[in-house]
Amino acid sequence: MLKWLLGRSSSERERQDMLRAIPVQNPQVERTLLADGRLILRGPTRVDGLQRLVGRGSVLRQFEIDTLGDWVWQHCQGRLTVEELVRGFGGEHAVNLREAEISVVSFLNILAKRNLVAFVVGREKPVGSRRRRKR
Amino acid sequence: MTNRQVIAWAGFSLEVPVEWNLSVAHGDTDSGTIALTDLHMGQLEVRWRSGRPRSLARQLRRLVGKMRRLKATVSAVAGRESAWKIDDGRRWIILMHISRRLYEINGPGGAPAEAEIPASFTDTQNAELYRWRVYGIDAAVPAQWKLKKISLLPGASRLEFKPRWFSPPGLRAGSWSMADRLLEGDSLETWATAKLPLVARHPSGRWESLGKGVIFRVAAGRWRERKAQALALWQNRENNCIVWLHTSLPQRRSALTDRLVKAFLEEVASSGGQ
Repeated sequence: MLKWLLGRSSSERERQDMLRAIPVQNPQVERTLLADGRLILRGPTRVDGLQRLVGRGSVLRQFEIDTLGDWVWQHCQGRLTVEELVRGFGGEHAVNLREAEISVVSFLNILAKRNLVAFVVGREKPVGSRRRRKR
Repeated sequence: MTNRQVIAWAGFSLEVPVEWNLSVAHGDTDSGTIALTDLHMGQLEVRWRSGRPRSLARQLRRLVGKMRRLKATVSAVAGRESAWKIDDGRRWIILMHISRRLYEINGPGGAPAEAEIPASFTDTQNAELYRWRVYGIDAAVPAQWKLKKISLLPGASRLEFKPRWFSPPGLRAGSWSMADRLLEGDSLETWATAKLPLVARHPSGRWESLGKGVIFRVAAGRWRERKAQALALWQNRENNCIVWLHTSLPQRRSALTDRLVKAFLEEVASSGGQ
């Protein structure tokens, strides 16, 4: 009998938490549409402890995204959970839900690694001003 | 878009909600497992095992007896012979003996489709061609052929089959998502000529139209290309994907190639592709 039939495993709980998280754009990131039609996200890199110790500040870096990536980026306004984003992406582009999940979640992971989005976790929807962010 | 879909695999098919997708698949036509999950959790698991009918009937009786001793609720499945449903509140299991196979279908208790799935389960193990339908792929494959490779990447799903364990793949079936973005308004033929290496590599190949699908055929050569190839393409507008089938078989088996291509085009046409 598979584990998932007997009870929810820790990885399944992590998956549930991930689906409930709300991606939020980094307000310091600028989205630019270039003359040749390319879309660029420009934002500061994250500064870790070692870099701070040696006095190195963050630098501006830019990332090119396509129209599908732009759809995800535009919807990271702190209103939709990852699950809602996945369902929206699947409906908008008529792709299978699993394909949408893999594409959206991996793209959000890339954005998070590059300090372009953060995730609000631990509550259904953001209310009030303070948000706990997990990077 | 309907909210139900048919998943067909290794000689059986069942109708499940459209949000359920294949997440685990292993084994072959003799024995194996598939599991379907939605966004949140595993929803259904199907296991099968082949054997002699008498031996399987004995195994089924033994399993049902064991479950009764464990004080689970055991009841016969209405409308099916040799099928038992075992329910312990948290999960349900259906054990079914059909011809040369013993099936175990199980899922979590209280799932919305719990009652509908057993009714939609269809066994086709005695058919000459097995239907394989998952992630937009829709192909009929000779029952004895082996599944060699499964590749279910987002946007590009593919199954490869071979006639025998040590032979090269004779049939590949797949689907590409986001057909509107791939085709950009072009016809399947124009797009395939520009983008598919198989078509670009064989300028002598010829195109045929069959119904709403297109077929690209390459005849077997004497030296280099010793197998005749056929690539059938179909645009499924409802699911926004391109479904394809590629056969690579000796010229003397052209009748089988034609049969597989015809079955493929009939299936995609009947499953709602337009």
